[in-house]
Amino acid sequence: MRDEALDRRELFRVLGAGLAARHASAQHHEPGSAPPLDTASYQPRVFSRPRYGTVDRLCELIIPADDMGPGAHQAGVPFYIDTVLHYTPGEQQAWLHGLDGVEHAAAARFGRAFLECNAEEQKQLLAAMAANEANPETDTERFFARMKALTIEAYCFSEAARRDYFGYRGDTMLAEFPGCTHPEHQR
Amino acid sequence: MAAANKTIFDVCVVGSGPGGGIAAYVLAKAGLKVALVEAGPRLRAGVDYNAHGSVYANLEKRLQSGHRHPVSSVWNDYAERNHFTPVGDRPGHGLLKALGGRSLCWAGHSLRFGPLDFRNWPMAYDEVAPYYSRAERLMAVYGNKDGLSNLPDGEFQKPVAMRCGEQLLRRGVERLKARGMRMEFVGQRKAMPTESRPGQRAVCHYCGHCMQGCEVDAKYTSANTPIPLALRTGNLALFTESTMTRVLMDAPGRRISGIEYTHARGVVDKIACKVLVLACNSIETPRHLLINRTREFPNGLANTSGHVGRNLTSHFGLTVTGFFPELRTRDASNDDGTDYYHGLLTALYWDNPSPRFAGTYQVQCGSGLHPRRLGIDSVPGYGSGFKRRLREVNVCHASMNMQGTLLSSAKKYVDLDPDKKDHLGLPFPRVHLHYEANDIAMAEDMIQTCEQIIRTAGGEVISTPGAVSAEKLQIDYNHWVGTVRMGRDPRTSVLNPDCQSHDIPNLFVGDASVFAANAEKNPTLTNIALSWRMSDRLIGKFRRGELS
Repeated sequence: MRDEALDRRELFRVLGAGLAARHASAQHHEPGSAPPLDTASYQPRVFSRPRYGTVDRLCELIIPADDMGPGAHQAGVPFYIDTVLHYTPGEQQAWLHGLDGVEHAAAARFGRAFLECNAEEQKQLLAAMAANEANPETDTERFFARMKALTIEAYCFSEAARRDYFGYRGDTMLAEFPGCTHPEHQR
Repeated sequence: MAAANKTIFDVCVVGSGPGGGIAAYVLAKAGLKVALVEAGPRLRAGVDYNAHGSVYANLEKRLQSGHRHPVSSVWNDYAERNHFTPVGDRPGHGLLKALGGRSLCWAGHSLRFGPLDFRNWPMAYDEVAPYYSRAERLMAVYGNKDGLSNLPDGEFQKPVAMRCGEQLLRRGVERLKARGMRMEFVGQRKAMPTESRPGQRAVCHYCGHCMQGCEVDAKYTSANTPIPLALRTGNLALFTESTMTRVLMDAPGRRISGIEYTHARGVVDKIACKVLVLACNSIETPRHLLINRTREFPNGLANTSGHVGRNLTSHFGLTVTGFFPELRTRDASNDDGTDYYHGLLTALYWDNPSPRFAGTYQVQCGSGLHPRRLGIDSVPGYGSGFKRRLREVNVCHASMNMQGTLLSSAKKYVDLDPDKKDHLGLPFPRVHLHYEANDIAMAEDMIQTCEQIIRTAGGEVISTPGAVSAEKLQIDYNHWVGTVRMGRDPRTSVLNPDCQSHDIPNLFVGDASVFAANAEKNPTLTNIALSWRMSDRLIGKFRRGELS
């Protein structure tokens, strides 16, 4: 219809310059182009240093570094968790309480603090927490679910996991979306 | 603005979402003096919402500024919370107070209702078809000409390809069709340009942020297309951050003379108008009509029929997810596309109704690896095996999200909460939702169909609701329609087929509450087409002097 074609030209005059500018800026907002964040030197605000170390270790047990790609530690997951909890005061108690539970379990089973347990012992403690994942009943079982959910969120949002594990190259400008290019899927 | 307030506007449109935005544009373009009243502020694309960039680098700043979510999203950051009273089976109520309303966070799915869907309407498909065409051209809708009887083709730009997962679901559908089952699998149709045309919005760049808010204004919103065009005419005055608190009547009390509103800064003022168009949404429009009880309209404005707030319907859903081992080796580096759903299962029970339930459903189908989406369902365990499975499930899944037509009945309606009021002293709306046997039976059929499609396509079902109960059904809180329905009979409808009140000649409605009946298709395109048609009718009556 002629009138709408005219309108589109008008619209371009109204919005055109702004759109072009935004388009250009979007191009420079691809993941990886932001200034690198130094999560290693992050000073935790919710957790004490030892508790932060425990979180770091537990998250790494949930998503370990291996030949497939970086783990939770390298991805900066503890930074993400402490930062989110810092701004979500209502969640902090459950985490602090949950970590107390982990320490109690470590002391009861191995007579040591969690971070002083060896890798095998730490794995056994996590295995006990995760044993009833489908139907968590105890505090530590529920804490595992809470911890795992935020660990996955943190990991998937990290540049390291996106790039070096998932191989994700999205959030970029594409002129065309290729979609499925496999004839065998289209039969 | 103060000067504008002294004028008597030809039309005052309340609400700037999909329906109100198009009405403001059509009316202003025709030369009428229009006031557009929006409760929220103007949000700037790419500034007030922008999901591009590093989540980690932006995390501190976002959380510090009060946002609860790690990634920018119009819905998460700006939608209303605790603004209505739910009754029954967990109803929701989508409300986004911002210029453009929920067109800022819609997915852009633009499906025409078909001839069968208009069976219980006071008009036929052919009467709406030209408005669908106008809407699609203005909005820039992409799609494929599929030639389906009850999902008519439109004025499409070139379609966007399906991903591997959606292609495999299509394979399942094709195999079942060969065995005699009646259904179709097609590509989605969405309101974002895929072809460069002069004077048009930016062409989509396939980053998948559509529902979070399109940073480059490629996706159609009221705020980026009809409202700027309406402003360009010089006939539109914008009142943002202005909440309508009262509808004003003339001395005899039978006609509207304007509205009273409260500005965000607390100032109370009035807008005088010859005609009022309400486009507040299917919960808020009946709410305002019910709030404004007068001597002449003791049950609420335009409510002689008693049908304001009744005939509430929406879509409800469930999700079934399949896993396709053959996708393990595919390239999953960029599945973003135009948000999640690139495929659509449709043409179910159109002219072969189910013996077990009335109405039908469609199924929105999506797939692909999106780290932003955090996988699709919980993967059990931990350690390297869990990590491998997390990626694998993202790469190899295809998800089927049912959109069932909620049965309209006396158990589903909107009224006013007698106790709770908002910060302006206006009663909360109450939304009553109670699932019925028809809804459950439809959901059971959907699960069976989707599981069958996944298995027939060579996949395994990794997530399914199993036995259906009301607790498992999820209402679509953005698809409510029907609460101020149109019809020929003033005893059973609120509006005439021109979307004009049977009771009050200078009151029109431009949102989706006007729907005479629902279909399985997403409502927005039909809302826009009907609001355009309503505006045309309004202009004709206005010029003939029938409204003053």
